[in-house]
Amino acid sequence: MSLISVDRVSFRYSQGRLALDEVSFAVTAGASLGIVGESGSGKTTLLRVLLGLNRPSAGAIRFDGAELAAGDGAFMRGYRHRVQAVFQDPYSSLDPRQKVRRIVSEPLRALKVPGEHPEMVEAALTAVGLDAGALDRYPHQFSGGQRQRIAIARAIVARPSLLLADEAVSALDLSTRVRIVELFKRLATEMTLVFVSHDLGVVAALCDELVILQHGRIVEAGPTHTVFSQPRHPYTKSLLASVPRMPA
Amino acid sequence: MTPLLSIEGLTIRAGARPLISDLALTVEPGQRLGLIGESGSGKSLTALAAIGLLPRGLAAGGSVRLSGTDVLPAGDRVLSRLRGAVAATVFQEPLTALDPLMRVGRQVGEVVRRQAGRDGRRIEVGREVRGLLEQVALEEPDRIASAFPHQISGGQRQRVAIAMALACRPQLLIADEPTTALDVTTQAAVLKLLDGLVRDRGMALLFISHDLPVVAGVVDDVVVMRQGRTVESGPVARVFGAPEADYTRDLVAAARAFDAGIEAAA
Repeated sequence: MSLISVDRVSFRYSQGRLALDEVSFAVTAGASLGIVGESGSGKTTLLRVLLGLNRPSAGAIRFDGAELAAGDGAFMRGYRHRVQAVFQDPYSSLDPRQKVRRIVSEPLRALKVPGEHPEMVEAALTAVGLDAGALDRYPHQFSGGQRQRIAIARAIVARPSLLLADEAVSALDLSTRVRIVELFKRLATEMTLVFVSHDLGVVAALCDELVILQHGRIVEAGPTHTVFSQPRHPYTKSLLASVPRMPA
Repeated sequence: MTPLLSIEGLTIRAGARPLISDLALTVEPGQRLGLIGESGSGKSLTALAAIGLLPRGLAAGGSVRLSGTDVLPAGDRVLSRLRGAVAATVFQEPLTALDPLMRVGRQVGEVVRRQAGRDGRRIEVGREVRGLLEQVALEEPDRIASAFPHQISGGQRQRVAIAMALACRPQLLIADEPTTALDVTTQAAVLKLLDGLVRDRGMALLFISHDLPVVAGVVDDVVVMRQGRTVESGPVARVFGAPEADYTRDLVAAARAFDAGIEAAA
């Protein structure tokens, strides 16, 4: 059964062109979906719609069978408990004035999650490969890769069912990127993952299914293997041909 | 033959903290050299040092020679003679390299006019600008020339920045992460353009990037930097095929892991 399904969703910024044009797809519980597109493709808009930050101009999103109601406060609190996000830039997504303990525990307080918060925070840190020594330090005391680990810890601390990631490894150095992709791969075994990226190498490593977006439309969708081995749309073909490769 | 760029024993410090330590590299006429490194490796600082644009407050030692002239102690008069004529630079973010308040054609025209003045040539600026925009394969050059930078795409802006560098007829093109801010399909097109232009004009190229496969596609030799020091250098095939330093080996393995992911998916 699909955990989240997007049914003919369109979105238009005021007076602009359609940023999303009848986008439909579904993600099975436990699966990992990659949303691939270049700048202006609508991938970030789509993610904002999925997070309930933008309300679709048309169409509907269903989460666990219930239609997303962006205006319904109680529904959205429950939704945010189960759907969390990691963004691209770990330098701007962490409050520089807060210690890691407070940053990571923030969703627990905001969502009034019952349970032993300190234990949950430590468990989240352990899951991302940081030790408890990190708790009393500030974001600037960490490298880019470690900051992204902190952001991921914050996203998983409330034990969401769905993790949304927006270019979550794009700002990282190559060797760090490999390790954070490994971390996402491990998390994807425990929760449903929607990973937005322009980087085909990253989605190939992470995602079972792909959706290729161009100008707000899905031009191709299917299992990663099929999309990579038998791309049908010319745009998918040109994307694949454009990926720089290491010399043999 | 005098190298176009010769860096020897370059050390750059911010206070007591070393940013670059004892760096040496040369670029001969027509040579294509890649400078690889992750954030904080000092690769962009090296590019700035090469054209005498080091930020104030940094202490530099050693020598950085452009066509034989040491740029470290040089004043603006000497530097402005070297910049453009010997080396021109393309940076990562074309939006910050271009003046947002000036139409593209006028910006390129300024460089063209200055260059013609240097050469003592009489030219028709508009025609020269159009020719340059065509050389960087910009469709609708007239529309681009009359646009402001924010009205054109990132790829188009980077092509304009390349056109401005070419207008100087440099012997050495320094490109600092020139395609990092671009989409992958745009990146492929801009890399192909750069490759062709460098070949056709017999220019030397110093290509700075964190992206191994991108570097491998455009240069013959590489220098791998880490924390301000050279880790390893040599021909691309050797360094990427049989890396000697542990750090290079890790980088190459990481790059190949993503390649392998794509191969496996296909």
